[in-house]
Amino acid sequence: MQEGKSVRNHRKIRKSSKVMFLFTLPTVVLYTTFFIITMMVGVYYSFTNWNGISKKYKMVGLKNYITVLSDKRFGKAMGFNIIYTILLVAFVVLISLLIAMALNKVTRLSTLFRSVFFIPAVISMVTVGLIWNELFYRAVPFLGQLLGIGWLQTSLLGNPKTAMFAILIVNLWQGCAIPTVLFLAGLQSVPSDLLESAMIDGANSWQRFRSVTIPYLIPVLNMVVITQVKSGLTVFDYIKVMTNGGPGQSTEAIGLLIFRHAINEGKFSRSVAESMILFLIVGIVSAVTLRFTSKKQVGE
Amino acid sequence: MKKKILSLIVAVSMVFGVTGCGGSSQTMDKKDTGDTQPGVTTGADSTAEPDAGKTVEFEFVEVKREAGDTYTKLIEKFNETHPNIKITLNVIPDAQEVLMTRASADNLPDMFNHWPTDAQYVQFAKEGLLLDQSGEAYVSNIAQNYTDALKDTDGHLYIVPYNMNYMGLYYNVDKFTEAGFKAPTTWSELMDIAEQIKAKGETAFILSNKDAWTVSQLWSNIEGKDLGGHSEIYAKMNKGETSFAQIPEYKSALEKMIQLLNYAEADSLALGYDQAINDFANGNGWMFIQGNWALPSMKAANADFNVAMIPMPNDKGNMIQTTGADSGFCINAKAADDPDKLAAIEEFIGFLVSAEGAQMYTDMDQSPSCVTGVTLNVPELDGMNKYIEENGAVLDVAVLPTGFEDTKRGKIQNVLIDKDIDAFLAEMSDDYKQAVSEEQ
Repeated sequence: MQEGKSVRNHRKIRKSSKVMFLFTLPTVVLYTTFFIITMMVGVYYSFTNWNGISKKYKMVGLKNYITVLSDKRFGKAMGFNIIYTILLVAFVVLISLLIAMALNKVTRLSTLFRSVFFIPAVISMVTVGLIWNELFYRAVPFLGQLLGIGWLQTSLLGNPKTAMFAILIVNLWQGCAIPTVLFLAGLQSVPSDLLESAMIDGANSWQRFRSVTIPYLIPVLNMVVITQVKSGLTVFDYIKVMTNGGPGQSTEAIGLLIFRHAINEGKFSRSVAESMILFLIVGIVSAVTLRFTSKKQVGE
Repeated sequence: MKKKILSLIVAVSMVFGVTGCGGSSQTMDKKDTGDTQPGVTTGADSTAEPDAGKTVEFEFVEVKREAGDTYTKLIEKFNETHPNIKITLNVIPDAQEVLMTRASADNLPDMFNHWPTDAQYVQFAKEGLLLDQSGEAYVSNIAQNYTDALKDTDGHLYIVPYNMNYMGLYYNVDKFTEAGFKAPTTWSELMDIAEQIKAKGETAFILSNKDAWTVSQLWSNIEGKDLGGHSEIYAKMNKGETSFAQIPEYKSALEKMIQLLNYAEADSLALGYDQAINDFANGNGWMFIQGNWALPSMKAANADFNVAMIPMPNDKGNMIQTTGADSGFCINAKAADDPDKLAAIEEFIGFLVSAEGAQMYTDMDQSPSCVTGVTLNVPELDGMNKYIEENGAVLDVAVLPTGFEDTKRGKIQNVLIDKDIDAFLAEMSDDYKQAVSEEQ
């Protein structure tokens, strides 16, 4: 009797794990076909001198990697990406956390406010480019003249020193929406009794925020930081629709350089080598961030 | 049962969830990049049976941004007499990038137009991706100096030139008449006028320097008036006998470009081509330095716009006006595998370069045709055409090494920013050498 039950249980487990395996199958298949295999093909091409369209090409070993790593243009693009990513992560976290905290306090018309902050996220990139190109060319300088601020009187996009910040502003305008929603959800998961008891214990609002709220936000923060690091290191679309790398290569990020080498300049295999290097960097940075932040989570 | 349905739904949603994330992947792969262009329907898969009543379909990718509507009308006209040929017209912004991706995926459209002087076209032709059209009957409709200039050394013609272009100087006729200015014929006259306009507190030149391709063309526009065609120069550069830094006209043209900035809007590096056309057509500036292809867009922005084009003046007023071959038609080499489709494409190109089709195109595109017997009725271009009639024009179809034009475009705005012409020319000379060596 006992034995029969355990066999049945065992079967049940086997059956359910089969079902579970079936659930993962679509992802496994898609991940393998569209990521692992294509990645391997990419690695292969990065060791060739393929120009993108020719039927003939030959193996050149590590030549592409050596060229890329000694290329000043690549180094410059890398520098752009690093500064851009640091600024992007810092500002996205700061701004979306502030907005989320404010929205969390709003009780009247909360849906309206939440959707207002979310609207930029649903506008298509081309539209965003058109809107902001006009704003930067016509509206912002006008504002600068009215306020008498010198550096605002010409378009930020037209100056190699400020073009990156103009792109960053637009990226933040659109990119803060989803992190805000995530932070808002995180804030709502903070148990109010904990906050209350902290208050009774005499904690001021900064102490309550640091010791109670933040630990609950760590998982969200973790995700926001990783996704923003990734989007900063691989930024492409904002630049493509606003400056196309200009003026004079001042906003040529790695993503755009990869695209240009592949599509415009006939250096396909080199661009694949560049994307492999970028992939490695994104992977390492993500792993480090994950390790660093996961230690600070609630309950660990 | 309910559970099964639920699990099916979950499984399906997982599939879509995963594919939804695929867009952010940075790997550049040969196979998965080409087929997913939005708005691109590939006619390549449709097979046509050799059956007289059956519809034959093919895809035509149109790369000239200004000409989308024109081709729509031409296809409508063509279908009046050829109801059995269905042409899928794809007008795509940044079409060259799309074409490159599709070429990498071995999925070029059946037919597309391209520029014969574009390095990408040359690359396609070299790699054997295009069909030789030299034997087609319709080629005889094209002025022979154009087809001769575009044939390769073996006599193959991979592109059928359709219309020509030239670059010059547009001026707002109403403003010029009101101020009593005459169209300038020398550089100093031009600067004189610009100075007077500046004194009025207005913008003499609308420069769309945000789009690097227009800056690059501005350079050619000015330097070309002294240097003429570039075939010999590039041939010498290829052998390392000369360079950008060694030819003084390149330098003086850049100096003139910097001079122009004094009379342009303060923020020219922030103004794009489309915005500039709108501004100029609506009277926000006096002059606009562009090619004849910009005219239809100006008229679209302001139908009553009174504008005229003249050659961009040089120092002595003895400008060599160059003309270029604008877009022409290419056929995918693979179209030869499907005789019905190929016949349909040839029928269509035959119509486009017929007297009727070419006249329609010229009237709408407002550009001179390479097809013989077509007349250009564009009063705005009279000044330019008169100059060409009196002084002749040099056909310039010289091609730069692959990738060089894009490298140049990437860097040329720097001259307008830091004004270091010598450093830029030295860099261009090196980049040219490198592009030549990478091509071999």
